[in-house]
Amino acid sequence: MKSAPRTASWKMNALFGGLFGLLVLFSINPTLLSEASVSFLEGMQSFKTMLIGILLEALPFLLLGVFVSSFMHVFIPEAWFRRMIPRNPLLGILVACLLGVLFPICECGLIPVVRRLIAKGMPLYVGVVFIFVGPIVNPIVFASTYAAFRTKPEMVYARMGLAIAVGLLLGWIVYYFIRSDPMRSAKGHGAGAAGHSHARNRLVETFEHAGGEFFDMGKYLILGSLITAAIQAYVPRSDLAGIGQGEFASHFFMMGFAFLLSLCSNSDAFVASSFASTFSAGSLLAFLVFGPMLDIKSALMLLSLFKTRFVLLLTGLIAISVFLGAWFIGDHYLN
Amino acid sequence: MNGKRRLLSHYGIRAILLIAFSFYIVHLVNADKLQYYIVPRLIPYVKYGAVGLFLLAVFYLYRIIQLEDKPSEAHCECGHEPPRSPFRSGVLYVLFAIPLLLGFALPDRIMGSDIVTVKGMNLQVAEVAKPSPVPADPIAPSPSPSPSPSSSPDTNETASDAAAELPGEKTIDNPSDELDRLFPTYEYSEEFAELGKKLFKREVIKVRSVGFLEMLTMLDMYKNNFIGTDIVISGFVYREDDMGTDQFVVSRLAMLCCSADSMPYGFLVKADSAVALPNDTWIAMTGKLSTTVYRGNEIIQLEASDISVIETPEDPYVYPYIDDFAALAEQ
Repeated sequence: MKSAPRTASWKMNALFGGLFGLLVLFSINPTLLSEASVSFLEGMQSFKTMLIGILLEALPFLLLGVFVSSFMHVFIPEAWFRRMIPRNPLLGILVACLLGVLFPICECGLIPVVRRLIAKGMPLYVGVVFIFVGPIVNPIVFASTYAAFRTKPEMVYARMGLAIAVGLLLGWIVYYFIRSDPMRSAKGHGAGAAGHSHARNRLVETFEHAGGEFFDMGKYLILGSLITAAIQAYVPRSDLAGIGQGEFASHFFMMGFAFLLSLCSNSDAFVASSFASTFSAGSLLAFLVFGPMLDIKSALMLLSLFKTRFVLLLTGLIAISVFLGAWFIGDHYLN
Repeated sequence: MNGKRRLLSHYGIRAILLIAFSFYIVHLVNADKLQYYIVPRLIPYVKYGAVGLFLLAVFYLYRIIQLEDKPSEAHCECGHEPPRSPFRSGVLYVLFAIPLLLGFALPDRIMGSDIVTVKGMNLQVAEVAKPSPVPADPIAPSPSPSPSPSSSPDTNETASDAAAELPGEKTIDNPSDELDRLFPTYEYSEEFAELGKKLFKREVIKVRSVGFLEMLTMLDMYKNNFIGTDIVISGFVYREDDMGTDQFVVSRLAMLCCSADSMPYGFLVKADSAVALPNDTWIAMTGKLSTTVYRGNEIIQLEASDISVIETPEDPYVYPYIDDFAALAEQ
């Protein structure tokens, strides 16, 4: 008997995401509704500017990601992938950590590519590590973090190091403990190519897949961008910064902040450095590692890729390891 | 039959949405307003993106034509079929339509005071550049090794706070020693110190768009060495609620990737004519550098001697500077 609830509709996920976002907004600014009428309209311009900025920056890379993914689906046979990844799990995880070098694009484009790779036979643990570590361990992020923290280069190495450490942990746990398939099956049959008729023109197929995937992933991107832009435009940063000044709270707060702001990993170092006077280096490190791994946009896209329980598990693991790691490194090496 | 019509309408809506998106980008390119939203270096990618969107739209149109001729080519079973229920389809396409509506309905504006109010103005740029405290050298004159401004209220020479670099008995008998003393280099801030040394004796220092942040950082780090120097700078007027009627900030927004990550930076300005300058007015000004205390922190304040209103620049934002700092010293 087909279990319909398994493939929970993205509608439900979006609804919960929206409600949660509203809850966050209201807890930060309880008078939101009452002041809403005037400031809402005034803020619309800022909202629009933020939203268009985020989308313009992300769309080319999402497009690239879906075309690369579709190309791989149609033109590259599965066996090729199986041969590329080392059998040894530890080596596989390390390779995955470094794969980010090959795809230094906005992380939005990464998820359709990984979805395709996993469907083509890439082991799950490798794919998971790639998704989370790829956005951080690449030359562009290295350079931008270095530029933002010009006089504190230890931040750059701490960021890369912590990201790889978290990746190792994630990969190890997924490899040893995940038995059931957490992939969300797409509508129709699974994404395997076995029974696929290639009778038609391959180019047409590539476009068909790319288009479908663009709209599939694009909806999460747009939803995430709407929420992010709203937070950016309507919630003053000083309000947010007022919370979480204690040592324990500051790490926790910076991670939540990174989640809400949903900045591209290429530019978040800059924003983090502007908080250098009010937050400890350890909490900034938490911001820099947690943000690219998990934010509103990527969380929504992950939900389209994996089943909800798996996403929650990953979220918990990442949150805990980044928190502890940043605290440890912050205390011992950054001060 | 029903399936084919449904598919046709999906393809049709998608084609329209995609064309609209690429058209919006083309509009921004023609109006030369792309840089309001993203960093110049990313502009080529957005243009390629527009081409890609357009190609996808053309593809859907092609499919529509193809479906009309050969209905049997309808489905792909590849897992990317459009949603079945009209409600879900509706939500999906409305979601895509929202940015388009906002894009076309609201004007494309430069970010100004409204954004700065939300993001918060940064008046202490150098705090970012302060390195980790260097362990105290037993013969260093200053008791506090940490170079933070709040820990040395009694000295007017922040230079004496420099830690392990200075042995106490170094005599100042030649200019380069003097410069080294005034521009202590912490572990990684040599570039700023060198820039400072080059600009030290100038009477007028121009802060341009190129290298704006880096100049601000250097001036803030070594502010006490530049007291009395005339600073030439341009930016837009911004005020916080707790500023006096003769105070405002001459500010710029720094962008690294896109509008969402932009950060405001600037100098506090004291001017009698401030009242006549509403927020968001673009000005070019000259002012003498001095320091003042604002919200408990010692920051730079420019005493304005000349302010003129200018046209909003074509490219109002500033970007991080990656070339050689020596170029900044050429005025």
